[in-house]
Amino acid sequence: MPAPAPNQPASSQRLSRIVNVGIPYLWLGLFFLLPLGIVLRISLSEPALAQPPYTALWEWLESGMVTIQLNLGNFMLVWADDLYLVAFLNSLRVALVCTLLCLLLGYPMAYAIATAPERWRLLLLMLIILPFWTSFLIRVYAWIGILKANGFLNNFLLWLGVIDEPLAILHTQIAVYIGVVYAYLPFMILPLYANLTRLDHTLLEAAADLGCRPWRAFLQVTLPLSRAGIIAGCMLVFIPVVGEFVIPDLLGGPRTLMVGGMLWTEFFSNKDWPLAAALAMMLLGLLVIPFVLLQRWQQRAEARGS
Amino acid sequence: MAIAIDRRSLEPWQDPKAEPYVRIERVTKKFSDVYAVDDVSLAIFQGEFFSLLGGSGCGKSTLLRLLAGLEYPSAGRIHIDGVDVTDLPPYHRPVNMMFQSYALFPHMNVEQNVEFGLKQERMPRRERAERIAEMLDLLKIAELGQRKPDQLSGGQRQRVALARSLAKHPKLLLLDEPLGALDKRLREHTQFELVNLQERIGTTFITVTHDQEEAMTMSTRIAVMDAGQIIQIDTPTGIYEYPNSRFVAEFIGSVNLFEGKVVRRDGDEVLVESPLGRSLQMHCPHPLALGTPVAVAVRPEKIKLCMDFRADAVNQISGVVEDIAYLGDVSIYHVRVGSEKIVTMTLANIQPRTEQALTWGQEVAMEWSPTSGVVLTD
Repeated sequence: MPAPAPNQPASSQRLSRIVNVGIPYLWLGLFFLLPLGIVLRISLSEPALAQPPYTALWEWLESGMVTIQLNLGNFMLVWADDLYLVAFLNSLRVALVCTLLCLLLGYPMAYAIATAPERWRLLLLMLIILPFWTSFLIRVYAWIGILKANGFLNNFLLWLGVIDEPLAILHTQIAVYIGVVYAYLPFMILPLYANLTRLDHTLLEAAADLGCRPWRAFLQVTLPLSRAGIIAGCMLVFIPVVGEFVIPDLLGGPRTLMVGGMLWTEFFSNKDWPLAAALAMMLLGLLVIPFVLLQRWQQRAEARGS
Repeated sequence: MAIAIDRRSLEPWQDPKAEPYVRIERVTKKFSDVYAVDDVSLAIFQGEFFSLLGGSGCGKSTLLRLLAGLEYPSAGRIHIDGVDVTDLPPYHRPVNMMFQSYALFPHMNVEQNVEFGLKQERMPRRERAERIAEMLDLLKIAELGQRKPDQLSGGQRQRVALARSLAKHPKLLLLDEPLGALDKRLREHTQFELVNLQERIGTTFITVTHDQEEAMTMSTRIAVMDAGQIIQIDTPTGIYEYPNSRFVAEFIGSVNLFEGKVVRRDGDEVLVESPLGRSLQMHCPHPLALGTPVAVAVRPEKIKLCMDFRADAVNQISGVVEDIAYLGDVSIYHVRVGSEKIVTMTLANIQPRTEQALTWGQEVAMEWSPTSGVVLTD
């Protein structure tokens, strides 16, 4: 008996579904999950003077037995040593403060661009994106020239007579804040702009018509409706800043220890890959867990709303 | 027993002593070089359902926005209930507006949308709750209170927008194309609801529409606008039966215009010489000099078939049926008179169509009475 005809399209449909879902999974597995697994595996080994510079996870013994050695020592060390904790907290603080500063600076800028006359918008956006055309490293170096003791900023302030002697800004926490806010501001502005241009202007007219003054209308209509843009911008700034290495290294001082710098030192100076991998894993946990919780909380809030 | 109705209370604009509720005095609004509203004066009375009617770009929406305070006039004053509001911002005007797009706040549910205006005037919580319930009841949407705007149908959204704009009990409600976003069937139904609602709450409504049928159904009076100016203000009947210009006659409904010249006056009657080959005798209360170029405007349904054509009878013309459009209740006939003129005539289909006398190519005689049309000079 021949197979029933309707089966044919059904199976091809299933195939296309498998391909459609499978390709992204394959991609994620290959370029995200697999490297993550490798890092996790390194974090559970011990450093060794070998190539690669860490011990194997398992060994075949003559007797046919497999011994698996999981070394949690790296995590214990990171947990126990205050130095790492300080670096973590410092990273979080810098990321938090800079995200907030970017939001406070970026929101008005994004709002101004979004409400500017049509013919100005493209130009203003270009001005935001323009710095990307120069190397990131060169831009950070430029800040050294601006912030150093006889740099542009100090000379300018001395010339104005605001200060009598040069301010020590370079190699302090403040220099790191300045550098990070400068470098990451576009990442805050762009998603906010994308969100604010979609805001229906008649909603503000309706608010005014219902007796709402412009400032309150901003708080009650514009701000809540731009929440998605705010969240996107904050994530785009906060996450990379926590692991930022170049800016604190070039602009910061000895007291601006951040996780990025620790990772660099462990990997390249101390050649302790397992410890560096453990640090990276803990950093990941630190970033992922709050965001997962935030997302679940949001979903629950939305489910309650509808 | 006759019921005495004081016409003046129904038609306050007829009463010279009545004080207008909304007074627009010589208001002009310029956008760079374009006059959106050009020297408009208008008096609207309490309890009216007033329509601003016109094509797109005629300035009707700008005039409404000027009343709401969303635009400020380049010149002229606006008074509402005796107060000069010309320079007041929208949030200080005793006026609310229902927007064409409804402009419901998408992040608030129906109750919060209705509550928004009440919160702004710091009404106590309990009163607010009562007012919300009253509004949702009034518009029969009590069960939708917790829904967000994107969970509502178009008709429901329209009701929520109306509830929100009425919640503060405004002195004046402005409606920008209130039925524009609804489909045809719902629109016809909602027209009557809107009128009933307005009669029940007594608020003065000013609505903007491009739909003449809508304006005719709902309004106490209509202002027909064109190019930033008001061409005519009158009741729906007045606008339809006695248009003051070719523009209004052609904008509202369809009309036959017979161009000609006044050749004789006799009291209230004038004789207009027309290129149809015969003179038309029309009723015309205002004096016209001999030789004035005029247009005789006759609505298609005012034209009757006449059985016996007499060359000396008043306003009789004859022609050949060229086109027939059967609409069910009525049929529209295009009759060619002479070589160029097409006269449109509407006849009610009293008999089933198969039994009707008129057919293509048939010669017909038509007539209308001198009072069935108007003589236009503009």
